[in-house]
Amino acid sequence: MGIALVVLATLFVPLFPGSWVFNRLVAGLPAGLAQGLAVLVLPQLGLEVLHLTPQAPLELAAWRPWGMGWAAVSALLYAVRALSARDVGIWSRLMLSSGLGLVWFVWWTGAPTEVLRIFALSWSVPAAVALFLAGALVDRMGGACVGLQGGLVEVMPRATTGLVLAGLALTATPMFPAFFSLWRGLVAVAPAWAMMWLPLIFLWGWAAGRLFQDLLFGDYRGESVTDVGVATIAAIGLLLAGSLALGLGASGGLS
Amino acid sequence: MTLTLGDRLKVHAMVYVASEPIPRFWPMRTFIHHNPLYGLEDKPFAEAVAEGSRLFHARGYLERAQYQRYRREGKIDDEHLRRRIAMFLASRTDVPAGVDLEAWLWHMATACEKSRAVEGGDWVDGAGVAAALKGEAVARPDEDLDPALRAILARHYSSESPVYRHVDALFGTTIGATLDDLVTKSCLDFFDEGQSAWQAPGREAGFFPAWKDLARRNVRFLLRGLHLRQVLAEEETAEGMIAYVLRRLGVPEEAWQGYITHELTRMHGWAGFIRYRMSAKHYYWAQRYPAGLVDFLAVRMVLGFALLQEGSRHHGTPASASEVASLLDREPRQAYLRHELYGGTVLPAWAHKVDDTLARTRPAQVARMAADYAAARAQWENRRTAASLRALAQGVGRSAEAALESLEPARLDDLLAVVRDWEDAEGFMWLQAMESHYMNELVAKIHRPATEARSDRRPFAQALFCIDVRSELMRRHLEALGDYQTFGIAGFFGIPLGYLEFGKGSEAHLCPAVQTPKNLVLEIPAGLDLEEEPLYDALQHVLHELKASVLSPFVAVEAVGLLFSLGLVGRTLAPLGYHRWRRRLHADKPVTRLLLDKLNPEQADSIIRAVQRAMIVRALARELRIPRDKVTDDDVRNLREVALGHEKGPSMLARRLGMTDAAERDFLEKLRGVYRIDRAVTSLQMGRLGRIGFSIEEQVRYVTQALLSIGLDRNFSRFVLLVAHMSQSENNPYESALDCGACGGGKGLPNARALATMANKSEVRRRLRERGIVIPEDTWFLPAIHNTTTDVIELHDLDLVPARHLLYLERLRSGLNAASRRSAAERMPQLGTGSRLAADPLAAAALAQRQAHDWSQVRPEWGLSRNVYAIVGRRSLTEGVNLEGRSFLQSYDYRLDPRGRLLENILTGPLVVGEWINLEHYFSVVDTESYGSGSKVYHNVAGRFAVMTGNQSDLRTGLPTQTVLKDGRPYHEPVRLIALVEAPLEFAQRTVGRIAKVQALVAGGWVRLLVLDPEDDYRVHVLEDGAFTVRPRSARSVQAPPSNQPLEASS
Amino acid sequence: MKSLNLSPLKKLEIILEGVHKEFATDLLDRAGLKGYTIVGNLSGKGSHGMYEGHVMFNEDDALIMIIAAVSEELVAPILEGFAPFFEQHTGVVFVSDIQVSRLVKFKS
Repeated sequence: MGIALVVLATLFVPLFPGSWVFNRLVAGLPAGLAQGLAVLVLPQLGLEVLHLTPQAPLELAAWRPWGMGWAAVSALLYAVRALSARDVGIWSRLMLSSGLGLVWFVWWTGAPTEVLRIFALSWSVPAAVALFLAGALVDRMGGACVGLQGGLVEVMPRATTGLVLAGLALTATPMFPAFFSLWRGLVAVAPAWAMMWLPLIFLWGWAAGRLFQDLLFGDYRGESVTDVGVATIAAIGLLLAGSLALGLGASGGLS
Repeated sequence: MTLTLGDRLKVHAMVYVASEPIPRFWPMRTFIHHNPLYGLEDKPFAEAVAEGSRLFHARGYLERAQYQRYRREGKIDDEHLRRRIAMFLASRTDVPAGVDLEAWLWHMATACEKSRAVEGGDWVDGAGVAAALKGEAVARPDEDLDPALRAILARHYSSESPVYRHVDALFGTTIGATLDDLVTKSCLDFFDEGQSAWQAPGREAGFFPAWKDLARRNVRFLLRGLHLRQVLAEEETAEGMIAYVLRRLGVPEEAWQGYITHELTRMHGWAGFIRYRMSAKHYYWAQRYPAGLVDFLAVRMVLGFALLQEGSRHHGTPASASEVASLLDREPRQAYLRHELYGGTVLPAWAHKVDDTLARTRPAQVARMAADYAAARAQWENRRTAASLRALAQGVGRSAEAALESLEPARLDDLLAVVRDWEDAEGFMWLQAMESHYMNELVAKIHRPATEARSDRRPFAQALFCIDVRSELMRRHLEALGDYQTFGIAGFFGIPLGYLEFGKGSEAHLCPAVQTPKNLVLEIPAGLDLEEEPLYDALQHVLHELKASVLSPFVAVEAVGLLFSLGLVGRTLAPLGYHRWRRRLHADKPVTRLLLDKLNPEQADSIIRAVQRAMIVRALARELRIPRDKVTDDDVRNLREVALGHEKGPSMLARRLGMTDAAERDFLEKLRGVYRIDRAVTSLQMGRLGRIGFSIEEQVRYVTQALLSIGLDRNFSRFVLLVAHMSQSENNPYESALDCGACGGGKGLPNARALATMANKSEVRRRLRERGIVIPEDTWFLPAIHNTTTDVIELHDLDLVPARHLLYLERLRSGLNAASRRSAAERMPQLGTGSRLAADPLAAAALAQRQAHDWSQVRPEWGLSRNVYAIVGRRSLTEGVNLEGRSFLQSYDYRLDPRGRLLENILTGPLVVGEWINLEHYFSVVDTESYGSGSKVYHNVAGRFAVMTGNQSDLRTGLPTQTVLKDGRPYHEPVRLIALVEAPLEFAQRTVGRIAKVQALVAGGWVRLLVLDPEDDYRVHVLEDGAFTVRPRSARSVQAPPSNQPLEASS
Repeated sequence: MKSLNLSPLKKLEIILEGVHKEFATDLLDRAGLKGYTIVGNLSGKGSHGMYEGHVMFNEDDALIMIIAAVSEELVAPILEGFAPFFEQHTGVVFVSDIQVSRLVKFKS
């Protein structure tokens, strides 16, 4: 029973191969707010499912090293796929799938669900922001592909700022909650495990760099577009700042 | 695949023909303003600009929005623009009836903000636009999609374009960028002129042989996967290599010429520099390390070929033109999708789908996707065009929109063609309208000279300034201050000379770049004190050599680094103070004289003798450690004769000191080899000495020409100043650009001193008197230099001034200082330093000083920006007129020039230089990235002769953005040079007609010619569209204001 | 009088603008010619109009003619070599049969 629930959970908190369902689900929704909300809600749903079997990590303790390794491998897989993604929506989705692998990693060590929730949120929130902004791009340009028409920052500075901040948050840049989550997660395990995550951090940085390069550099060649509204970007800013404060506070509270 | 001699020669000729449009790039130490389209000057202006745009991927005119801005500022002649529109429409046969195209085009030009109001597209046609206007769906182009796609691809992928360009566009690779990088690196290695501490080996063999040698063993190439050894083994010569690669790539022979042109113009900075090097006879580095464009092209083609092969091995991309052609032919749908996706034009909504489809490579899917995409694109393009047309029609008026909707598809096609052609030609129309405005302004400003007889009142001083636009400010202020009369003359004062400065080892050519000086002038210190190098200079030398050594970072940084930090801190925080302190440490430059008179053979011989004697004494001291007092003059003379082979046997000195035969022979060998006391060298030196100086006849000729060309043949004042000009800046690779263009990018002071010395000579004055030019006893010619950055005029050769003139020197000096300060006060506000300074000349002068010494200043002065006019005529035409420093002023009096020879000189010299300067600024401002050199902030000096952007790039040609833009908007207003010549119309026409080059420039529209006919009631005739038309004049006062009137306040 | 030994050669007369003199002589050097003669200050008429004969301010504006005697097998390569040049510039090449007495001066 426990195992069945765990497998069900892999469909919502993405872990390969169950993550295929998660990605198909999110991709099937219309771009923008719908996708944003989905990536916020679905992992929490999955965590609820896991909450139903709190003993599962202890029961499956024999499989722990394999499980943790599998989580790391799943994260690596999605990070590599994100490297070649040119579409902002697809990139965010894949980076989220990669980052949520940490949740599984920490779950195997028996962390309480509240901690897992915070971990999941620290990736979901920036991913939701990024997907929302990707929806805005699709509305205006037909597609959220970057790098086609040059630096978006010239015509949509506010949207680009939001995307850059969300991208930084997604790739566990210090000060954003994902970084503290990662730190917490890795500190709790043996150093050898932490080694497995180093190439992952490198890949995340590289993926972020490629996205930013396409967003920020180059002369804009496309049609003229209107930027995202000031109110929207202010709300996004508040959201990210709020998550920052929460992350700083919560990581202090966790021991 | 054997290559014949004919093939090799053909390649050679093709490279030559392809290289002709590429402008030569002078090393930046002597930056010459030149027309970037100089190689295309045989074509009319508009045609040449279009060709240049095609070759160099550059814009030829400003954006429409910028011209609209000028129109709002009142700088466009509306009536002229309307006339051009009407002329354009009159020349078309396909104007659709029922549409008021004149109103349409006027609205488009003046009210539409986008650069291109109506965009085209691969699928845009009348039927599609008609459907889109009605709101219907555009017909799907699916029946014969393949031929349509092939046609589109054929348009974009011609066989004359390099293969790697096609591969990059179809597969998203970056071969082009990588190739540019590799070629730049190879060029930097070879052409370095002493900047790097470790130099490339084997450069004497030539560029291609040296590169080939290194490339065979270059590990970096191997690591990249470039296997060059087999390719390089195929052919020996560079031409052979080019032909071989072209054959291997499968490029058809008819396309070779175009292919080669594309390759060469891709990196036109390096190509231009190599072209200059090939033609510069006296360029030291070119003599030692020869390189030709054929070598350059061979390197580029070999590397490109290797990169293509590597791509083909690793990614399966095509490696030859035939493979690309077969891809385009056999699979047009896949190629079309690739073209859209990697060319960056794909519709954003389809980008991901197309990418996915191409990645899966299932033919049926690709075919379907191509059809769907083509339909979507056709829809989108036609809708866009229809929307633009509708927006345009709405802007014109209600009836226009109705007219648009009633057009049938065929008429829509016509409309689109007319609109497209107009938009292509619009830039030129704007340019002409702007020039028309400036011509009107000029005609309104100049006034006819006072008709009374030339006054015999003697001015206090006369000054000859360079025609440079910056002199206009100074001249105006000087004239307003007192009884000064100024003239404009080319900066080299009509004397082309080669100048050997004291302490320098090489000769500088101080004349326009097109001339080669025949005479050499030496600067000799008056004291002739061959003292030791002062300690501080020696120390500085050592310190800077330390910088270049490899080991010094490990050893010397702690010890010596602090010394360098003094300079860093000083220069940044207190530039003026630091420089004054430094100047005190350096040895003062000694007082010098110019050696101007020709030497007769005896004098030359005795000079050589003296030098050789000094050399022998030094040799004795250095090699044999025999001090001077042990040797007699006779010994030295004897040694010299023996070394030269005039006398035989052991020398007297050897016999006296008992040197062995071997030792003596050794010493003599050293004298011949190292100290150059050798017969061949002696005769060479005699020849060189023969070049020194000017004969008396030459001197008289130059002085006559200079005085007559500016119209000064009588009424000389006490002082005649010959004011050359120079600029001063720190850390500025472009400092030569701010110096005198007429002196080939140098400072004109030696020319001024030369002319002054000549004109002060009594023998010369005697002969001038015979020719009718009477210079009074108490007239003194005084050389001076105008520092255009600080606006300070410094007088030179003051120690030669006769005693009685010294009394008046104070008045002269104070007048010059006052004029300097007022000029500075006028100039500083434009540099963006705060407008309160305009009221305070002293503060402005101090600020100008700081500009000259601040090494962080990217804009020490505006230089020649904003130049528009060139006025060839008497000063009375423009006396007191505020031309805002925008005009070249050449003094000329047609009454003294019955045969037109002086006007010929002016037209071939100063006018052409002015045209070059004007067009250099024009093209640098319309396209700052392709024709101009981009922002100075990213520049790095390459090899000491050029700048690159970033750490590696093509050499940047043209002027930087800081020189021509202000706050991102153009500061220099791009119009062609408007040249006004004051002379009878027929006389001017005849003179121009005699000079083929000037005739071509004027007829082709490279210079706009206006003729002010003094004998026809001062009517102004403008050369427009091949004929002279009379310009209507505005009601401006026709009397010249009396001199000494205070200047009109400029706002 | 000894009988003359005349050997047949081909004469090339290349007429082009003076500004391209160096290119033309360089090409002939590369073809392996030992020598050639240059005649300057020509005038004439071509598709670009009349050319004046006298020297203006430099030699670049006048027409020149280069006369060279070459062996038969060099004619084709030289003409092939000049072909791209004459597609863009004014000028002509005349080929005629001649005989020379000192063959050693012309053949390397």
